[in-house]
Amino acid sequence: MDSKLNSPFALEQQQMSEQIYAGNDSDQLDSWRCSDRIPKEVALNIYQNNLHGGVAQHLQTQFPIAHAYVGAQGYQFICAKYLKTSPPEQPIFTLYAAHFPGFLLEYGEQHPQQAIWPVAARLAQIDFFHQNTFCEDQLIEVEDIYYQLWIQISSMMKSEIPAQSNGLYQQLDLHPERYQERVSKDITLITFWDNDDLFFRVG
Amino acid sequence: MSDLLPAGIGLGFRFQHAPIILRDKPNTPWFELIADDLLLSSGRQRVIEKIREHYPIALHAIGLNIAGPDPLDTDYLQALATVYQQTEAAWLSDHLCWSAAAKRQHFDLLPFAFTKGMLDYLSPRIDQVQESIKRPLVLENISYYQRFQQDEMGEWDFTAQLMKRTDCKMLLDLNNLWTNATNFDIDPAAELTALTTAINASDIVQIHVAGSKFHPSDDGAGKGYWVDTHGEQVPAEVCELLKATYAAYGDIPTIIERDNNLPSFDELESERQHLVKTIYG
Repeated sequence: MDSKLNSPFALEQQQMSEQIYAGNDSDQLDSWRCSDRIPKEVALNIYQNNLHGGVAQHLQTQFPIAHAYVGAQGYQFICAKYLKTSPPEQPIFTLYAAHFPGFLLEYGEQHPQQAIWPVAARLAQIDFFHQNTFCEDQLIEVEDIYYQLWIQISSMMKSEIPAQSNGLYQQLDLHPERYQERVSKDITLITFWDNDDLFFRVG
Repeated sequence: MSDLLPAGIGLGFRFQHAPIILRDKPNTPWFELIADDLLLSSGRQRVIEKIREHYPIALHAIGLNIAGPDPLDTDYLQALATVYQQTEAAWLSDHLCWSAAAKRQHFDLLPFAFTKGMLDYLSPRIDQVQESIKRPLVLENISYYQRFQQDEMGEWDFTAQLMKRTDCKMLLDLNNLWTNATNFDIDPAAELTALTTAINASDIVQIHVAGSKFHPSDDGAGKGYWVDTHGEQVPAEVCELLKATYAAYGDIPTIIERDNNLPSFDELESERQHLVKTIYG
């Protein structure tokens, strides 16, 4: 049989996809048959939460230091912007996450009065390398001041300082304005194996 | 086909746990790996080679979009086939669902109507995948929060017909069965009986168990509903379904699947050992 057939359900799928993405109400979903426990609007809300909340949660997992710096509220905001501006086109989430630091940088350039985003972008770049590199001798070039900030936040998180929903950037010594127009040397981080675990050192 | 893996209860492998697993070599009989995690050339392959030295594995994918309206992503399919061949996994599974439309990904498992038209649509797509991976594809039942007016048959009749047409196999997620039945006020045990009546033992190669999260109704007057988070411990009700499934079909390779609220490996392994005691005494 022909695998190029059109889905007999394509119209409903397209409509459902649009409703989930747009966060609209459930008026148009006439083909849905719901249960007493889950009315139509609740069912749609679950799918919307799975998309929007799921993307934010996965982006938090991929970028834990950037998330701690920006804080839960700001992170939720920027994840929603990312999903709206650049909907994912490929099925592998890691590929979608790979473009997130670039998006933060671009968003920062478009909103120069918000100094937090360029800093978050640099932290996210290190986060991604840290989360997604599994073999030795992998290299990344980063600016030393952002690596030092990443190490500082990482150590704060390990010491279990209570999470701040408004973000660590509010602390005076971590404030993004301290990083504006500062010149820093580039350094190279290199991965290495030790006792079946992967670390990185400054080259 | 299910004899390609030990019949015991294993775990879903997560890369966060890799250092502990490689250091301690726990007595977990086998692991299921997320295939999508291995499709990028990031060095994960070396970790997997080490895991494979000690454990049998199965692969579980999430991005095939087998019931989606778009053509199958041949790059993704080719990458899956390569990883499947390289890892020598017992089988490759994905979900009987769609996850993208007009190239827009949902990173979610979405339902479709169980119709003859969808059987006709799905069969050549499954054939295409099986030609690529050169083995039967294994498809998992999903959780859903609504059905469709267009449904022409039940889920298990649909799945049985699909397997008959294509020789694909089934991964039975008992938490999804329990969640769907409970949300639609159907007795989960009766739903399992309907499944075992429709589907042969040889067609089910793997089982998932997991937990869902309860949400009270907004006004407090309703009965509330369950959302499939795969982020909770396996509840007693799902353990009972597992016992009943083994009684009906015999032992089938099973894993605890935890996607969210991931605990430490030691906690997850303790939960697995507790489940083994609950099931086998």
